[in-house]
Amino acid sequence: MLSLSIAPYFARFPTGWKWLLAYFLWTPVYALTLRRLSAEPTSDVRGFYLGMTVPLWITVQGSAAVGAAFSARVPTGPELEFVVPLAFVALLVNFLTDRATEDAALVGGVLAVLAGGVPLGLGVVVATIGGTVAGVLVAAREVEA
Amino acid sequence: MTGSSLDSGVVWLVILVLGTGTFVLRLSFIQLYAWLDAFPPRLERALGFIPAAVPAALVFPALFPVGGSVVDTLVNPHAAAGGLAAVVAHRTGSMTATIAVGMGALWSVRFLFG
Repeated sequence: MLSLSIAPYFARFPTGWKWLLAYFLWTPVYALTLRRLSAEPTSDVRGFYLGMTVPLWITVQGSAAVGAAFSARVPTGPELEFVVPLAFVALLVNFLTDRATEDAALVGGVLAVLAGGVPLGLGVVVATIGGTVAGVLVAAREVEA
Repeated sequence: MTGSSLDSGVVWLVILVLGTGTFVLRLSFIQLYAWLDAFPPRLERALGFIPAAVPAALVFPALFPVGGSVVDTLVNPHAAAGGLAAVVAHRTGSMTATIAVGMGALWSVRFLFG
């Protein structure tokens, strides 16, 4: 889904660059890049994207190594894993710019809850498609009205 | 790493397959888009809703766990903390503040209501 939605912005780069950029397609990087593009459509996508991903990649590798070495000693009590959804809350709020995007998020979120039992994370895919369709429908209705 | 019964060769193979699969998925549409000469404008407009739908689909299941009653799904510590975090995110635009308030709220609710 992320790949599809960022594809138009990467279309003009040569294949080698596309492959490199695709390797770094993480959700937070994706979200911040699209926010930047909506604010400044003419900005240097590749520079902005790599400027985030390269330091992030180094941090991720280092953190993964630390986690692999010490994970057994981290207490599970304080629910530190809840940081991840909170970070996505912060990203999500940025993209709620009008009624249609709000409805896209609402429908996507509710569908994801309902599709929680679907294997391989496919529930998220179904939910995203449902939310996107909802956004398109609401936007079309707003144009008519 | 004690008591592992998995052969390290199998582990490396799994890592390789998962890594390649993830990369191919990420590349898929970026490459496909380039191969297509004309992308339907209607579909292109629909792409604008993906940045809102994806994080929502990732966030909601973490805030609204299914399994208990409908009330349990809607009213719980994670939903309360996530809702407050959303308000902070909207007001401040700061990810650090959002995470700090969200975690603080979660721990407070746990402390107060067990």
